[in-house]
Formats: sequence, C-alpha cells, structure tokens
Amino acid sequence: MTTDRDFDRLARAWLDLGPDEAPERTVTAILLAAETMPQVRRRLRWPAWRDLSMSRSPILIGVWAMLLVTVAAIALLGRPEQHDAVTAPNSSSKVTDAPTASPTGAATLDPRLVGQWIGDRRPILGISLDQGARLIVSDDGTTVITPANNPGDQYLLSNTSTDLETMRVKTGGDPRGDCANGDAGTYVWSPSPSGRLMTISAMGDDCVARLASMVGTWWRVGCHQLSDGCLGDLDPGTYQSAFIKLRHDPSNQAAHTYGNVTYTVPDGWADASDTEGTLELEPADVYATVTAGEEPPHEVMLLAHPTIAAQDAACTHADERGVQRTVAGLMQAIARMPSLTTSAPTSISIGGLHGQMIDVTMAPSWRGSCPGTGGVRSASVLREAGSGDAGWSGYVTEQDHGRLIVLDLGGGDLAAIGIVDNQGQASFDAFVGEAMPIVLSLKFN
Amino acid sequence: MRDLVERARDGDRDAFAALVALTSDRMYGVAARILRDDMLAEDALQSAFINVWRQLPTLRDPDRFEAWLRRVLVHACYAEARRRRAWATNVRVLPVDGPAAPDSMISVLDRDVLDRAFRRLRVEQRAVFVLHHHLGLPLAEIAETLGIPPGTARSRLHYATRVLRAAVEADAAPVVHERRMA
Repeated sequence: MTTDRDFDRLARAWLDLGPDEAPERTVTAILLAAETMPQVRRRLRWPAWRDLSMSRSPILIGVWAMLLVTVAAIALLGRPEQHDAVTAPNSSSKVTDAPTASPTGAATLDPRLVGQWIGDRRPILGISLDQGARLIVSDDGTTVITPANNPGDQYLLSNTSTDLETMRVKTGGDPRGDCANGDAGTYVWSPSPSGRLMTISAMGDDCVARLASMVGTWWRVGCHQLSDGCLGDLDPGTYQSAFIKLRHDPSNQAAHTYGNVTYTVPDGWADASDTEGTLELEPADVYATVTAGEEPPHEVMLLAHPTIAAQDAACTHADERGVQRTVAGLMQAIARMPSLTTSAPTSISIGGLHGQMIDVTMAPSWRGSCPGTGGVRSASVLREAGSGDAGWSGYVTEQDHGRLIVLDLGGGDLAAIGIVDNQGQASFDAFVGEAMPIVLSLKFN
Repeated sequence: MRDLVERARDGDRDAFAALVALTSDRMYGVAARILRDDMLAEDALQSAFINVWRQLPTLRDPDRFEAWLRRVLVHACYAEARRRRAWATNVRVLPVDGPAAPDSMISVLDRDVLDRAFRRLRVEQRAVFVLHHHLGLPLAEIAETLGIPPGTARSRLHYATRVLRAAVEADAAPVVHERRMA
C-alpha cells in the first residue's frame, strides 16, 4: 500500500529525473525563426489566430525552406562539376533536342525562375496525394521539390540553368538518390507576362521521377509573409486553395489539404492568407498597403469549421454551448445576438451547396468591448469549433459592416464566408458588389 | 519580465530572445515530461515559442505572459502527441540512468513502471499531472492555464494518479502462488 504522501513524493522524484535544459539547437531555431518571421497583423475584426501547433505548418515554410535550400546549395557548391551546362542525352526517353548553351558557355539562370512556386497535386516521391507541391529555385540554381506544406522533406535535388525558354536540370550530389548523379533533363518553361504563373513542359529527362513532378503549372508564392501560406497578387483567373482544410476526415490527420476550394478572381485581387483554417482574399491595393498591425479596410474570408463564439462579456475563447452546428442553428444564433443588428437570413446556393446569408452591424445599444479591440464596442460572433485558443476567432466592432454566409458542406462540416468592411455603409455596399461574384464562384471539392 | 514582454509585444526581438532565455529551460522540462520524448518536446517547444512570438501583439495582460506561454506549450504538446500517435510505440524514452532522485527513493524499477503507466495516459491527463507535480501548480491555476473547468482538471489528475499509483502498487505486491487445495 502506498500512502498519498508517499506517492506524491515518488511522483515528484520521478518527474525530477527529466531534463531541465532546452537544447541549444532548439533555442537557436526559435530565435532564427523570430528574426525572419513577422508578428501577426492585428485582426481587430476577425483575428485569424492560426493553429501553429504543427511544426511543419505553413508558418515555418519560409524559414525552413530558406535554411534547407541554403544547405543544399552549400552541398552543391562543394561540387563544381554540378554547375556545368547539361549535355543532352540521346534516347527517346531522354533529352533529344537540347538547345545550345548560352553564348558565353556559362550556365545562366533567368531571375524570373528564382523563388518559390506552388503546384497542384502531382506524383512526387513520397508526397501525400493530399498535398500540393512546392518548387524552390534559389538564385544559384539549386532546385528542390517538396510537399507544399513541408519543405523539410526535399526531393529531387538538382541544379538548374536556363537559356531563353529552355530550362536544364542536372542531378549531382543528391543525398536521397531520387535521381542518379548526372541525370539530366531539358524542359521548356513559359512564364506569364506578370511572372506570377509558369508552365513547364518536358523535352526529356533521364530521371523519370523528376519529369513526373516538374511538368505542369506553377504559381509564384508572392506572399508578403511566407508564413501566411498565400500567393499574394493574383492574375485574373481561377485558383485552387493550397492549405485550408474544410472537412474533418478521421482517416487523414494532415493539417492541410490542397484544392479544397476553387475560386475565380478578376484583375486586381490578392490571396492574402491561406492556412489550415482560413483563406483571405483582398483587393490588391489593400494587400499592397496593409502592413503588420493594421486592419484591412475590407476583405473576403473563408473560414473552416465555424461555430458560435461564447457570448460572454470577456469574449472567452470558447464555443457557445447549446448551439446546433447546422446552417440554421448558427444563423438563428447570430440573429438572436443582442450585440448585433441583423438582416433576416436568406437562402443562398454556392457551388451547389445550400447556405444562408445575413448582414450584420453592431447594435447601437451594445456597450460591450472585447479585450484587444482598442476599447471600441465589439462582440465575439464566430470561432473555429473546438479549437481552444489556437484556431481563428472573429468578432465585430462598431465600425464594421459584415455579410456572413454559412454553408453546409455535407457530412456535418460547415464553412463560413465573411465579407467585411469598416469604411461605412456606402463602402460596404460597393465592396459587396465586388466581392459577391468571387464568393459565388467558389466551388468546394 | 513585464518590461520584456511589453517590448517583445511591440516587436523587439532582443526582448523576445531574453524571454526565451528566461523561460525555455522550464518550458522544455514541462514538454519533455508530458511527451516523454526529447524530439517531440523540442518540436513542441519550438512550435510554442514561434506561436507566442507571432501572437504576442494579441496578449492583453503582460503579467499573464508565463501562464499564456504554458497554455500555448501544452496545446503544442497535444498537437505533437496527436501527430505522432501513429508511431508512438517507437518513441524514445527518457534515459533511466539519469541523475539520481534527490532522496534516492525511486528505484530503476519504479521509474520503469511509472514510465510505462504514464505512457498509457492521455496527453491531457499527463499535462495536468506534470503541471501539478512538477511545476507545483494548484488545480485552480492549472484549470485556468489550460482553459478547462476546475472539475475537469481535478478528474484528470485523479485519473492519472490512480493509474500511476495502481501500477506502482501492483509492481510492489508480493507474488502469490496459488495451491490446489485438493
């Protein structure tokens, strides 16, 4: 028999055996990340407190991608022969028409190719089909392909050079051995006039795995903050999300998924954030001028797994109890909130999915103010269900006009869409006119 | 610490580095004890501090920094535990030949029994147990830190204690050899 006191002493003694010093490499990595990573923009209306618990969430992508490509570059630089111009293989499965090298004979690299690019799902060695791909080309030509959300797992280490539209790649010193040393490939790459998109087609490659993963369309990662996982300014056209995960899937514990939603934008829009819980689109002029700590005057948000936020004066980071997580349940709860003045909910169909839409402003009689909103009248409305204090959370302030849409994705999953403006009724009406065609273009996969 | 927190909240990276220096050892100790795996603990620590750096502008009360950090860290531990559940059976254990307990009251056998029993607990139960017995936090503060009702904290601690205690007692019980009476 063990007494309580004995057990407590035993437990403490056992716990005392554990380590009490953080490894230096971890502390160094933390400080390095902080050096290169901006703090969040203050989301006074809809703070997207992202879940950063996954050590390989998009938040770390920029840092690790840069670190690891640098390491790869050092490895390649240690092997001067790997920077030689690629010679053309000659079998049918190999490069048959390699263009001549640049006039100087030196390997060159078009700077428009340098940077990070996101591609859709493709057969890359070891990459989950749920993930998109990321092509990283450093300015010395070092090239790797990684899962879109996991640049720590780098594949197909190559050296790239270009000659006009011809792109040559060659393997050398690839520690993984995805391609054999000396494997060479020749591709044609075509950047869009804006440089935000490129297509790569193959002329041939000794390495079949590289050929399978390289070919296709790639979108430049033009995000102001790589940690936001976004593309930044967009050409007019149709895009797929890269990270937001809208559906619970017990068989898939990955935090992100590629292509959960498709959207179409006209000229002048930007993808401002794409994370596991949120996708944010803003007019490009807003995205260009809003910096960390500032609130965009208007934006469109797609929010995963919404529920009603606890309706208490402290704006507690908790789900409101007793609310049925259905379209009607959420809409009824919003319409009943004493903090809000609302329109009558109306039905809407987006991408073939049923939903309801409601316009909200702060009720003139409401005197509450959520902490962190600078003392203005404000109230919690929606939050990411069951996320503790790690998910997104949204509240309305006295300056805001919002249109909220809740959609039924099926299988018990919901999505919310917010169109928010803090510049007054006329500005809101005009912004809704711009935003609704984009919202109505959404398709959920 | 309040001054450091306020400066870090305003984007001062030197102040943040000082905060990391002040708290990282203690936080790593908590993560390592909850997760019982050094690598997972490193990942959780890194994830938590990066999260804290990013979210510092949203911290309302600088005096609550350490409680907030603990909360973020524990949630990072939850995520690490979930992420690695598929190969949790392969995680490395803390070395049994570590420093001796202060009063030499814990045997190698006890450590092994406690290690194995502890791994059977849910990570949420482990967290409460570690915060209570290692950091010495009272249940009310644990509940506030984790954002759970005090009753939930109490029941998690009670369950964890019961499991660990039963394991120790079972291990200490004399072996009974039954004999057929007829």
